[in-house]
Amino acid sequence: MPTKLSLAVATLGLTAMALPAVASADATDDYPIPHRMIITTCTAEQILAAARDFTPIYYERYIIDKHNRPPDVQQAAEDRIHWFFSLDAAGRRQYSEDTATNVYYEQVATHWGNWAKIFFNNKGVAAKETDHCADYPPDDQSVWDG
Amino acid sequence: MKLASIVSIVAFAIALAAPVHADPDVDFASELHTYGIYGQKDYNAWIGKIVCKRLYNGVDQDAYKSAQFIFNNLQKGSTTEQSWQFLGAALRAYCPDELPVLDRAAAH
Repeated sequence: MPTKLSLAVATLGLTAMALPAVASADATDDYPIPHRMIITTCTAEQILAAARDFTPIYYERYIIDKHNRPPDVQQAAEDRIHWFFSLDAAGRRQYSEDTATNVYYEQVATHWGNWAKIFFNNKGVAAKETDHCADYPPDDQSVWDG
Repeated sequence: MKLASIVSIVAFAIALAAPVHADPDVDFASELHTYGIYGQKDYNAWIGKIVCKRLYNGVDQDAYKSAQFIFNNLQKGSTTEQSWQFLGAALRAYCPDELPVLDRAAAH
């Protein structure tokens, strides 16, 4: 009887080990891109304007980092984030999945690792940005200059 | 004779030179403490310098805008008065040429 019981337990254990899905770096609704960035209707310029006023040191660091890149890389980053915010929520969520599961998916990141840091990397910053972004003009390009 | 007088003038000048000025960020932090504004020295100093930059590049067009910016970025629970005190200290420490912005606000 004890033998039968231990056999059953062992079988259960084996099943449990066999069942878990293959480990992978899946995206979630909040990672790597914060949910608020996925559902916001603001433009990149509105987000940056809010960052300038409400997370100013994060903003300064980003702009300084940006200005230290070659002009074509800076332009590629601007173009890419414009493209991102042109997507609908489902498209952004898919992009989040793509970048989470394939480290080489985002080409701009191979030239500038932190190219979208001010948009994606920090939930607290994303929260402040999306709290206020709607108060700013949608197309003020001066926010890229710092 | 001539050389000796030059040497003595130089020695006198060295003796008179003001002591090396302390780190302005330290002085700024000390002034903030008198207003009950604490927090990280480097954070406050950088905010102070950004205040100047925003006046220079026109992001903030007057002292009210500057004070609002400061208020938004001080610790929660800070007062409007502290924002204005921070503004005055920042202008004196980092961009005294922008001090007239305070006079214009006062005359408003």
